[in-house]
Parts: sequence; C-alpha cells; structure tokens
Amino acid sequence: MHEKTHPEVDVLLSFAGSSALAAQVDQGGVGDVLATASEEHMQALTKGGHVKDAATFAYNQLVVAVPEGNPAKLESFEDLAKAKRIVLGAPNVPVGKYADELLERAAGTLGVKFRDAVIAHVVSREANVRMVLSKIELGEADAAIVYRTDIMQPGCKEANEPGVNPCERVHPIAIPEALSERATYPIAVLSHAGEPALARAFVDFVLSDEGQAVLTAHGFISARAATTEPVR
Amino acid sequence: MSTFSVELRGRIGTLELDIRFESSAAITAVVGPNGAGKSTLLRVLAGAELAMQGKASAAGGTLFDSARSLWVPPEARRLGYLPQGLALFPHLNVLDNVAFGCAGDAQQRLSQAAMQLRSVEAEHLAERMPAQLSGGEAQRVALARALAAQPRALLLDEPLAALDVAHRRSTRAFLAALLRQNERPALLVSHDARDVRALAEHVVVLEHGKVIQQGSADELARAPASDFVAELLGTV
Amino acid sequence: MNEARSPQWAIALGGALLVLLVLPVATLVLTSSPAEVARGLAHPMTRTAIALSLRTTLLTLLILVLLGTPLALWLARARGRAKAWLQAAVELPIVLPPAVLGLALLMSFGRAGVFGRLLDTLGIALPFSTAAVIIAQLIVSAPFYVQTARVGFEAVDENLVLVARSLGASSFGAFRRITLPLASSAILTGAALAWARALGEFGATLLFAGSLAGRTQTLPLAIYGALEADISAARAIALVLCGIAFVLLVLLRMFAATGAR
Repeated sequence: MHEKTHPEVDVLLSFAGSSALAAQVDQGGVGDVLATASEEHMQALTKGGHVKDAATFAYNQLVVAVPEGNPAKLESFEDLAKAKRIVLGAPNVPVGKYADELLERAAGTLGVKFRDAVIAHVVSREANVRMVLSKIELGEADAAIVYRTDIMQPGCKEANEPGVNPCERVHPIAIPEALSERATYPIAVLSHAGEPALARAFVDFVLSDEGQAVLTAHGFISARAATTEPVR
Repeated sequence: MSTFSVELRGRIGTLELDIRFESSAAITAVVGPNGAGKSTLLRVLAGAELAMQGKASAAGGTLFDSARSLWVPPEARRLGYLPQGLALFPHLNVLDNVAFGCAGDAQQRLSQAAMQLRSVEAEHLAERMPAQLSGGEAQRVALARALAAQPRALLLDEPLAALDVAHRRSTRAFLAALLRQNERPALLVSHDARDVRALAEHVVVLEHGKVIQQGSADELARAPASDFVAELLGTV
Repeated sequence: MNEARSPQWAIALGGALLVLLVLPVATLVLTSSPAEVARGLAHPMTRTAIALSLRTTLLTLLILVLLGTPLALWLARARGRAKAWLQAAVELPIVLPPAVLGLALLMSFGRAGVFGRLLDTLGIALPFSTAAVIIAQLIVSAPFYVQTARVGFEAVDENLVLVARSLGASSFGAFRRITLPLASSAILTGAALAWARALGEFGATLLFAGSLAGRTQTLPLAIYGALEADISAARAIALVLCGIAFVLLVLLRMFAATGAR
C-alpha cells in the first residue's frame, strides 16, 4: 500500500525469524527498516547502535491452534491437557518463550498438574512459527500455541462458535485474557540504512491510521491500544 | 558307463547353444574356435546359474535335468572346476586355498591340504600368496585345490594356455600323468592340438555353439568335418 | 615414487573450487575461541544432542549393514532392466530434497497417512519419535552404503565364487568366505559415508520427527535451534560435527588405502 501512495518507492520485503534477522543486521546486512517480533532483539540492536528510534507498531496475542476436525476435541484452553500431541516454539524463540511463560502463569490459576500434563504432551519444539503451524496443518499435532495473526484470515471464527464456517485446516481457541500476555512488535530505521529518509517515511506510514487499519484487519492488535482488546 | 553326457540348449548373449555329446573316455577334450561356447559349457556343468534347457551328468551323477525341474547346486555336484585364470583366492595363502574344500576341523583340513600339495610337488609354496606364484606353480596349486575336495570328475578350461612354451610341455606331461593316476574322468577345454593328442581319448568339436564332430583324435584327423578341425588335427 | 606432475591449468582451475570447499569450514574453525567452544560443549543441549546423534546413527548403521549388504549383493548380481530399475530405486533418496522426503514420510506414516492409520491401530506412533529419526537417517544414508558395497561386490570375480561353490561352499558360505573379505574395504568405505550422511541428516528429520531435546533433536537440529538464541552454542555444535566428519574422513582414507593394497 505504501508503494501505491509513493509510486517511486519499491518496498522489498525480506522475511526470517527474529534472531536470524537480528544476526544479519548485526553482521552488517543490507536493509533500511527492521521490524521484529521480539523487543529483546531490538533492544540489543539499539544498544549496539545498529538501529534508531525503535517504536512499537503492533501487538499480537497467543491462541491455541487446533487442526481441522479438532481430533483431540478441545473446547477451551483448560482442555489443553487432554491433547496428546502438542507442538510449541523452541524455548529460545519468542513464540516458544511466550508459550512457556503462559504455561507458568497457568500453573498458578489452573494448577501445577495442568501445566505438567501439557508439558508432558509436548512432542516437538520448532524453531519458528511456520514449522509449528505446518505440524497442525498436516494433522500431525493435536494442538499448538501460536500467534493469532498466524492463523487469522478475514472471516475466520472461533472453533467453538456453533454453526459457523471455520478457517481451513487450522482453528483458534481463545486463551483467557488473564493468562495471555501481548507480544510487542517494534519497528525501527537501520542506522546504516541506504535510504534513511524513505525508511523514515515507511515507518511513519506503518504507525499511521491507515497502516494500523491494515494491521488490525490481519489479526494484529493496534499499537494505539492501551489495554488488550479482544479482536473479532 | 558314460563319463560325460550332455544335452544343452540355451542362449548366451548372441550365441545359441545346442550341445549334444556323450563320452565314456577317461579324458575328453572339447575343442573349437574362440566364441564357440566351450567355456560356457564348462561353467554350466560346474553349476553357474544360466538359463539352460536339457540335461547333463558327469561320472554317473546327474547335474541338472530341466524336464524334471532338477538342478543340483554347485556345492553338491562334486566337480573340480579350474576356470581360465585359475581363480585362486587372492586373500588366502596357498595352503588355505587348497584347504578350502577339505572337510573336518581346522587341523584335519590343513593336513589334508599339505598332503595334496605334496602330491603335486608344491608343498614348498604353502605359505606363499597366489600373486607370488608363477603360471606353472599356480596351475599345480589350483589342481591340488580341486583334488583336495575329492571330486567325482574334473573340468579344466584351457589349463595350459597361460604358460610359456617351455613350461607347457613339462606341465602337459605332468597333467597327463596326474590325470591318469587319479582315475577321475576329466573334461578338458583346449585349442592346442598337442594337448588334445597327448591327453584326450575322445574329442568333441564345438563351432558356433554346436557339436559338429566327435570321435578320437585320429578319426577326426582322417575325416575332418570342417576347416577348423582339419587345421587343428589334420597334419601335425 | 616417480609420478607425472599435475598440469598447471588443472591446478589453477581446480584450485579455485578447492578454496571454496575448504574456506567456510576453515573460517569456522579458525574464528572460534577454545573458551567459546568449551562453553558451548558444556551446554546441556549440546551433550543431549551428541548422545542422541550417536545413538541413532549407530543403530541406523547396524540396520543398514544387516539389510543393505544383501541388497547390495542382489544389485551386484542383477542384470539388464531389473538392475537398472533397482539401482534407480536405491538412488532415489539422493536426488530427493530432504524436505520432500520428510513430507512423503508424513504422508505415509503420519497420523493421517496411508500406513500411519494402520500403525495407529497397533498403537505405534511414528512421527515425533526417535524411531522416526532412525527411519529418516536410514533412507538418506542407504544409497551411499548400498551403492558403494555394490561396486565392491561387482569387483569380485564371479569365477571365484563359482569355484568356491564347486569346492563345496554354500551360497552364503561363498559370500562369507570369498566375496565379503574381498569387498571389505568397499563395505567399510560405504559404511563411513553412510554414517556421515546419517549424522548430517536434517530436513526429513525436522518434518517427520520434529525437534525435542533427548528424543529427536539430533546435532544438526540442535544447531538450527541454537542459532535462534545462542550463536556460540551453535558454533560449538557445528565444530563437534566438523570434528566427527574429519575423523570419518581419515577413516575413509585408511579403508580406501587398504583396499588398494
């Protein structure tokens, strides 16, 4: 969209896991703007002088994802302990770390047995969200903890809403507000950007009303939201 | 009683075989030009798995009979087979080579092997490796190895071909004496007329996979059925 | 020993490729500090991964030798079109991208897979298991062993086998006493190659077996996982793999040398 309003600008997007991107920037990789899923990585890069003026551009929320047909018949977050095969992100990637924190907090409200049962059923900890989701899409796992944005498409509904057309292959189950923390996503201009002015313009666009509207349509929570809002 | 009886039909590569002969001689020679099927004949008799029809027997024992779906595996045929090149086992020394077909425990096998080597005047070669043997020495070792397994009959494929002229004469004499002494029927492939005259009582001529003539060397010399026979045995 | 010298142009052109082959690993080794490596090695993830890799690859190797040796013999004795088809089947895993293989394994043995459903009723769940790791390793490393062993068997003169059998040895007896000893260096070389390939197996394992420390996270998966957080751990693990690969290479040279004897 930015390309439409600024026809002279070509926005080239390069995707990778947060740490891989951070490593690339740290090693002097080419780029103008960096957006990551991890505040930690951005903070490290700011300290290292590689990026300037990091700001939050969106939030995300964790949900439990189940495959089409819901083989483990999970209706709510509390049912997660029933799932025989759970896939999470690796403990050292954001989505995995947040899931671990979530489970720790769940031990407090739902009991230690719940957390232990869930952990005992974890069969794989994948290096990124795509791998986690592929296990769900292929029907090999009963449940996973991922970001809402990964499975949200316009028109998707909750799996436990009766008589509605679910998403293809992956359905979300909401996680209680009290337990799920928002993931914070920062964006910044690279210090060694080739086109600093254009980079700044792009970041500004993302933070603008228009940009935020696009983000919320895809399941993100707007950076403007002061508290967690349920996304429908 | 026939020593060798063969009825063989089949195809090897581009060669169509139709071999039929019977011999009651102690030593039978199979001669013919290159590519006639002589070596293949021996291999089939030794037990190589080639798709062949017919039947064959040696020294009174049936080797195979396709009509009765009978095929005796090589290890049960009791035939001493010496291919061209002798096929001495390169990773075993002479004594172990000869002992390969002997029965009994290790000690028995080695002593039998030593005895066999003595009978071919080669016991001084016991510790050598096959690669270190001369043509004539290898020949004796291979013979000793075949005999040590107490075969019913022998199959020899060009036994003297690899030897130089001087050795050939002495080895031919040695072979003749050995074969007669052993009283085992032998089927000998050769393209050398002198081998044939010195050793064989019955000669089978193969050309293009078929037997074109058989008989004694003299009979063949008197009435050769082809140019090859004439040249081989005619005026020697 | 008097040997002809290699031509200059061969050294010049070949040297360029040689540099590319050696440079990345050399850089990895030379830019690592021993302290960093020691720290990475001490990481529990590393040690679990080493143990798992060794356990699974040795088991894979055992199965490979037991089943792959007869297969190599079969191939060696086969003729004509049967031989061509058999060889193609054995070589297939080499040309297949590992990710494709992983997907194919899921399609076959996954929960919803063709055979997976049957296995499920028997109570056997393959995905996410250590057995899945071994299966993936087996498939990718088999071609290396079978093809190398096959070449070794083919080099054994069939006359030797025929003579051995005429002396009274059974088919297996002739194989054990003649073919096997004469092909031993090929078999050892094939085993070393297969082992190296199994150690490095990544793509199919990731898809089919997943990644869980102690159960399915082999050394290559551990590197991949470590990259996300601790570069020094990733480096240490990479160096461990390099070390093992180096040892294997030395062994390979030794086996090949004894074969040329």
